[in-house]
Amino acid sequence: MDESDSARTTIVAVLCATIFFLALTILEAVPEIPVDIDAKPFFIPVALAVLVPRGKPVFAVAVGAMGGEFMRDMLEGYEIDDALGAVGYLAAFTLAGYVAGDRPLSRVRLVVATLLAAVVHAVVEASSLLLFDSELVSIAVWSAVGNTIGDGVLLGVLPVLGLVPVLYGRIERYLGFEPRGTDRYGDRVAPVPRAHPAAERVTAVRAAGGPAADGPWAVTATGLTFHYPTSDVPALDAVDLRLAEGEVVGLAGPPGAGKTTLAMALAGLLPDVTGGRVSGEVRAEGGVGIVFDDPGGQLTQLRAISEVAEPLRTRGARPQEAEREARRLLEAVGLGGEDLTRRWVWELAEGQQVLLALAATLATRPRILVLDAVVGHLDGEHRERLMRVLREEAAGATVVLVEQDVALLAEATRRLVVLSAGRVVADGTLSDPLVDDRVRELADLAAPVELTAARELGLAGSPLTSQDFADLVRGHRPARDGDGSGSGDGNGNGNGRRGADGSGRGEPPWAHDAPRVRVRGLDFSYPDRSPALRGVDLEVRPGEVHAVVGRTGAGKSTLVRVLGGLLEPVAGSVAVDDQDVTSVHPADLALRVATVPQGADQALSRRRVRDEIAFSLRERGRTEAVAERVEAARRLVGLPEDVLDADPVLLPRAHRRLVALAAALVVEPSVVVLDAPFTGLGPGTAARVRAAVAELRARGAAVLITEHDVEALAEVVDTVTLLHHGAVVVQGPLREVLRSDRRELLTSRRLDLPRAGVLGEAVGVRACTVADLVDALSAPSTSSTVPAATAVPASTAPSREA
Amino acid sequence: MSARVPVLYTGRDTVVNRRDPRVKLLVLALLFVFVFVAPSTQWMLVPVVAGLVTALLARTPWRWLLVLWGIHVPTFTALIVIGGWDSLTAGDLGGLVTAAGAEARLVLAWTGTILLSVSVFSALDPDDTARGLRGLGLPAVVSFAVGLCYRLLYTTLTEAVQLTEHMRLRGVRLQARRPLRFVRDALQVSLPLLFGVVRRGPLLMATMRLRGFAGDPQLGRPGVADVAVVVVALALVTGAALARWGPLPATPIALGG
Repeated sequence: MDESDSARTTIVAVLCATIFFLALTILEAVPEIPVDIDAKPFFIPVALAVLVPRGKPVFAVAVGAMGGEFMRDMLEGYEIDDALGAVGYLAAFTLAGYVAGDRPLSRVRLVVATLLAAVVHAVVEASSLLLFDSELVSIAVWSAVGNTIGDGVLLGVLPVLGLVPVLYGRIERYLGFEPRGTDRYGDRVAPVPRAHPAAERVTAVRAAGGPAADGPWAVTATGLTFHYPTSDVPALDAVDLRLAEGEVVGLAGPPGAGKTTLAMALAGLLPDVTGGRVSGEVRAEGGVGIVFDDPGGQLTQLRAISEVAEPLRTRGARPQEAEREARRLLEAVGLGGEDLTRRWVWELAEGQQVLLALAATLATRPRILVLDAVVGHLDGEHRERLMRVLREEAAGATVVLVEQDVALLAEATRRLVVLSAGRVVADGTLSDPLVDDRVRELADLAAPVELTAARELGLAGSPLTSQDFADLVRGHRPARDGDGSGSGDGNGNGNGRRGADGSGRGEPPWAHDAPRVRVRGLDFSYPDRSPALRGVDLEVRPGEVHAVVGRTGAGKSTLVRVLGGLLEPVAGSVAVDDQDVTSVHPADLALRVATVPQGADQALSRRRVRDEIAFSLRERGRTEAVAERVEAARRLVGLPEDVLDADPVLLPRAHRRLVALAAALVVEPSVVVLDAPFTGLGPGTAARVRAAVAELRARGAAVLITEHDVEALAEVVDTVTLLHHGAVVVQGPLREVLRSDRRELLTSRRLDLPRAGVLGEAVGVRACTVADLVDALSAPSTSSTVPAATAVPASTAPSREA
Repeated sequence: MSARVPVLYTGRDTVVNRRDPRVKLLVLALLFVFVFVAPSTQWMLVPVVAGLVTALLARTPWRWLLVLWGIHVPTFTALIVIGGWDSLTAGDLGGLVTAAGAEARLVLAWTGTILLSVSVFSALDPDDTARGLRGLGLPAVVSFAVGLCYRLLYTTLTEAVQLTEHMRLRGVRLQARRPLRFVRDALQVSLPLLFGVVRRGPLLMATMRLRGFAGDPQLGRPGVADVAVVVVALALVTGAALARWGPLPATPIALGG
């Protein structure tokens, strides 16, 4: 085991051993989980699982154990009989480690090791009682017997039952980790090819474009190759790259391309943190800061202010100076004010957590700043603020923007580097790769809306900005009279559905159906917090797709949790098919209302994807035709067939999200509630989710989607509710709510029009989708037909505006 | 999606919060020694009183104290029953009361340590813990590991609450009235929790490496009040040791008399 492996193992062993111990302790402490499980039976096998294949970082595990024991005792109230318990753990793990370490995994050896650990721990703990009072012999004996039986029997049984080898195998694979946000296929799932067949075809782009700047260089990588510990496939394959000082560079690529790995290589984190093998050279001039694609997972402090002040203090700032500078940075990223700076970090919304991580990273004054797919977590206003902060606080720094959002790349960068299967397959000025279909395919990038619209209109040119598009349109057609006319479907039905008669003037098919979901006067407040929802009224009919949009913190996720029966309204009612959701257990309600909250993919834990999807059925005793229903759910969400036998926790995040969606839909619900289903997804996966939503609508399900990014919704949504500070601001058909003359209202609520709407505005037509835009610009100029409010059902017709 | 988790640390500006973290940790270490050294029930009242005073000064939430003390009541009961088992089986209630008196020292020690440790930790955040350990001379990696345990406790707790919600939506009921089913359901939650934690570990480590951690604790010299606290704590431990093995009487009453 080399030094880097040792360091990494030490880190992971400490974390793994400690955290799982704490996790089980937590189960005891959470009021909603009134269970009394001693963590030890689970902790020790897991610690051994970490320990066994990794040699002898025994002391590290023992430190972790002591840390966990120490905190547990302190938080629970220090226990006398555990007074030397921490020392007992130290001895136990040291012994267990020497028995089990550095040898092939063996159940017998594990049983011996764990029994030994149990006995040692029991003896030491009993001794502590005798040290306390030599008269306590009877209690000490009981303690020793209890501990031996409790720890020993359970610890002995678990390995025999095979739990340890199972955990061992999965954790071992998991320890060949990348940070979250990096997607890598498991070995059993379509391995990433060493080089994409099309890679050679785009070398011309690279040769033609090349680096956009001429130095001096902030980053130089030469022949950089890296393998994760458990993989023979290189995550980075002979990467040659130079980034100039002060340059803003886009970095794109499909899941598993190696983007985050490259970022970590630039920061010097390979292989110390990850393990594995590195060859070639990488050199960064100055400090590197990374904001990772896991908003909450990278926050290391309790309070927002501490998160930013700590790096400053680590760099020598006095406490008052650090706090002053931290407040300034928090203000700069939009988290100013006493309420936010003093808040617990886990109480912040996802977008706020991203901004907090950005502020903490800026506090280190990096010369090279990497933003790893974080912008998708931000609403429009936060996104603008992030761009402003980059200009003001990171001026002069080299910025690497790892993104799949072409609009953002076009807005912020001039150079794009495309990675595929660990190789740089394209590198040039932005316009070259973006207009090249082959490169976009390799990079998993969607075509810019401007480019798509221009092509569908048959215009010669490759516009990447709204101005380019407007110029191109004006150059090819007579100036319009600017009356705001356009097609859309006129009646407010979204996503190209033109109403019953196909004319665009009819009613949607669900117009006269009874609402399946009926929300009336809904109020909800968290304890000690301002109201999260205020008087929300909303209806969703069978076959209708209803979007609830709003900025971060508008109350969208709270609404989802209320609809899923996880929160009880303070006032008002929520009914599904006229039944109050509060009268049903969430587990039963989920059979009719499939709710997929944010982070649902974190709940995956079965050994195979097919078991994960079937879990919701088996848990409820529905064992008939399970395989067929799993297959139907897989097809519905567009999950590749060969994924079914893969381990879900090892899948790319995008696939994990699809698995979580399939697992919710397998019960064939009549209502589907999706919380931010498009956030953080690449265009390919987002298209699959949109297709699934369209299919659900066709089957007559009532679908409610929350999102802060209206761009993702325009193609699939019928009706829209705009929430702001928990209250409904405007509600109605998609094209009514997101029409260009409402842009000021939307902007004031930190939303924007869909890109097609912005382009339409630039050329004087009204549009929500590319199809609208093309129709409007292809058709003879006609007057706008604003739909009559009565043309749509009561849930949407009023297009009411608060 | 934010989650609400119980947090012991209050972050108030109290006289306890303002104490040097090294002093707080040192006091806890001395408490550890004291409870083993203190020879009698009377001496064991010292940590109880100290704990109550600290709780008042730190304005520790009384619910935390009550709950964390309350969950040990079954243990106290078991201790008394074990100690007085012979009397209990013989129907000698008087003997049981005598046994309870004999175990009072243990019960008081437990109570005192609960009060004092909970109060101190309500005024000691993870950074201060790591900084204090570093200031006491522990290696950076050990200080970091303990501080990280503290932080991850809350991170994991947040995740546990969220996972519980997710699993409920997938049919896991987690209802306590069916204990066996409940244990099975709890395991259904714990496994994804484990994977989440394992996944998060390297990310946190990478973040800490980039931002820096546990270098110079920047604590400077302790103030007069800090020194006074340590002196008093040391004096109490020394007094207890002298009472147990030296010339001082084992009970302050005897001392007074």
